Amino acid sequence: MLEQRIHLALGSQCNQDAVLHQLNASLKKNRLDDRIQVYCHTLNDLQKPACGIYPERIFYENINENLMRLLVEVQLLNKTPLEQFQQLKLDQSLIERFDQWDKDRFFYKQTRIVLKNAGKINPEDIQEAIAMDAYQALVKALTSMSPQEVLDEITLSGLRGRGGGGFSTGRKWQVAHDQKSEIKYVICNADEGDPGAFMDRSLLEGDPHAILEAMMIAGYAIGAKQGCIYVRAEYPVAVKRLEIAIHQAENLGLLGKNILDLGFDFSIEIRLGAGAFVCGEETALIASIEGQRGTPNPKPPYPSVAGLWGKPTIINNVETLANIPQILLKGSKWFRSMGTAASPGTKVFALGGKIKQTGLIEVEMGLSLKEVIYDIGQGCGQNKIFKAMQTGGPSGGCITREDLDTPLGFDELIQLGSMMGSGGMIVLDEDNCMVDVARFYLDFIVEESCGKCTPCRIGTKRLLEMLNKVTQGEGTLELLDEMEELAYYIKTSSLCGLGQTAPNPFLSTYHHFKDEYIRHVVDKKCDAKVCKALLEYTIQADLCKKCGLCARACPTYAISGVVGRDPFTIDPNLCIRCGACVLTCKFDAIKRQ
Amino acid sequence: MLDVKQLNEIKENSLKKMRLEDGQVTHRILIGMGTCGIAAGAQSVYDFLIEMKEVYQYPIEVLPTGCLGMCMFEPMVEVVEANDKHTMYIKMDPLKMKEILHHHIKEGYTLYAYTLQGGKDHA
Repeated sequence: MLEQRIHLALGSQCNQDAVLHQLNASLKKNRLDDRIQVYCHTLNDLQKPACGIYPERIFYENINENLMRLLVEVQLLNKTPLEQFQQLKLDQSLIERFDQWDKDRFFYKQTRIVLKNAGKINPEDIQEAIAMDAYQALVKALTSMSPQEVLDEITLSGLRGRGGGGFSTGRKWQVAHDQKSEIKYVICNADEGDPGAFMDRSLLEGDPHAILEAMMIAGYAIGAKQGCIYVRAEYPVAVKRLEIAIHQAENLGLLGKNILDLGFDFSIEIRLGAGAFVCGEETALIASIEGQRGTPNPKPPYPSVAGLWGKPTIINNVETLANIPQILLKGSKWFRSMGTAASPGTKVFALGGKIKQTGLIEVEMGLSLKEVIYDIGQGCGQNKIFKAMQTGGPSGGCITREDLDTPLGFDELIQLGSMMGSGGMIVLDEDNCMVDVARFYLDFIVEESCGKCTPCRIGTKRLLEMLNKVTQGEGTLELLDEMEELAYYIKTSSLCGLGQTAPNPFLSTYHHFKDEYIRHVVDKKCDAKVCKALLEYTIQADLCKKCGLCARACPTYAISGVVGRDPFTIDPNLCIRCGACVLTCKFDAIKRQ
Repeated sequence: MLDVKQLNEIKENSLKKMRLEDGQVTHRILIGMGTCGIAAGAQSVYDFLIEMKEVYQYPIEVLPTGCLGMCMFEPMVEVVEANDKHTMYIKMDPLKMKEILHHHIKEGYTLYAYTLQGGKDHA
């Protein structure tokens, strides 16, 4: 342990920003900010904020801005404990929590069920997977349960599709089971396309046998003998490991005819997708497997009734499937004991963006977003203020700091105007321009729209052009109204989910950050300093030392002046707003606004 | 044809092997080799360890594994010992790995500066 760490425990009532701000400012003032790490934790039952200093294990209760300043100057700089506040009697359980935080800052709030083997076993060796209980659920289903019992167990568990929609898995399977057909199919949807999401990839790479096992169980439950994994070709490692896993399972007799000598046949093949976003949609995915163009078709009939080659087909997301063996092994009651009543179980999230600890996390449903960001993700970078969180990929929306106490769940997030999606969480801080964020996602949608229906093909393109106008300073208030109207039409008249949710990035940012849009179109200013066309670089004459460094760095020769005599000036017509001059200036004389 | 009994046999044997109970292997070295790990350079760490194992006959088992979730600290290397002791080293490269082979595997003490706990704040 080489340096000190401060853990702040902040209750939901406490004035978090003021304390944190003072602490960061004091650390910076005393030049301790690169030696001391600050971690924030939220405790909903805590009335007074407390802090613990490690590795010394000194605790203070009832902290405020003033104490924070003293703490840095006396405790950390001079290594003298603060006598008057010394070691207030903290609850023993709270001290234990502090210890736990210090030991295990990333995992302590996580519940790993789906990811339990990822990073722990060799995914290219079936024996290690078997040692960690792989194929035990299949044995249980084949030996002691009828297909209907398996279905009931899944329905009772309340498992909901983790791909985004949140449809009940048990009901989906039941419909497919009730169809009278000789041939049925099980499809695993591993076509993960949301920007910033990589849950399915990690699962396939870390524990491919869980997916194979779950597909077999699904096949047994609905009466299918064939399975298919639709995975995108951009995931070469996942494809390779899946191939190895299928090959090893076939060699051992865990796939193929008469599995485990229990009279059940099942085979699995891999289909590679070319990586179109729309192919994650069920009907488009089926079309793609059939060799047709990957475009969605109107529902009903649902795939559970008539899917691949017109036969009943169930399509489940990778993460949904990975839950199945665990539910069968441990029972639906165990599964229900986690999460909320409407959304039981856990969810894997890919945490990214402006956050200290990025990565893949699995948490119980019902955890608040605040805990995810500040406890697991450890907050935004130093001295940066959290602005919003984008969930659900291009179909989702933004969640602002006012809503951070909301518990995670399918319905809760939809109420906030966002959605669970497949689980990408992108954190945005004060340096992100919300108009630019909306423009990025819409750009993605325009690229990925399949072009079948007009509102999606042309509407999103027009919406993107309007957003571009706003970022380039050509927007008007009337344009914003037009955009809102167009977004409404795209939403109501598109064919599939992609189009129906396409305007969400715009609508959600417009709803929550209307003032930012208005500032773009009325004042022509971008406060986050992202939209280049709205930026203005000026050299402050009183700070300029006339050294000429900036003029040499400028790629367009927009800066003129005479070294040692005249202050330098920037020609705004030639300036391309690259920021090279700001980086070279040693005297902070160049202002960007 | 494999039946349920044989499956359970495989399970037990493999568990024994993973808990390092047979004594031939003293350390299980798991390298995070998901896409994130490989992108951060895990392949060179893996190749290096395989080579070192062959040349110096270290009693170790070198295995690739998936992503543990902390993609920002890749390449991560987990050293597992017989008494269920896990040590997580982060941001590895062949040079650091050489030190770990010498100090941790041979001499038996942990290099805290490279671990998740000690090295994290430096990284």
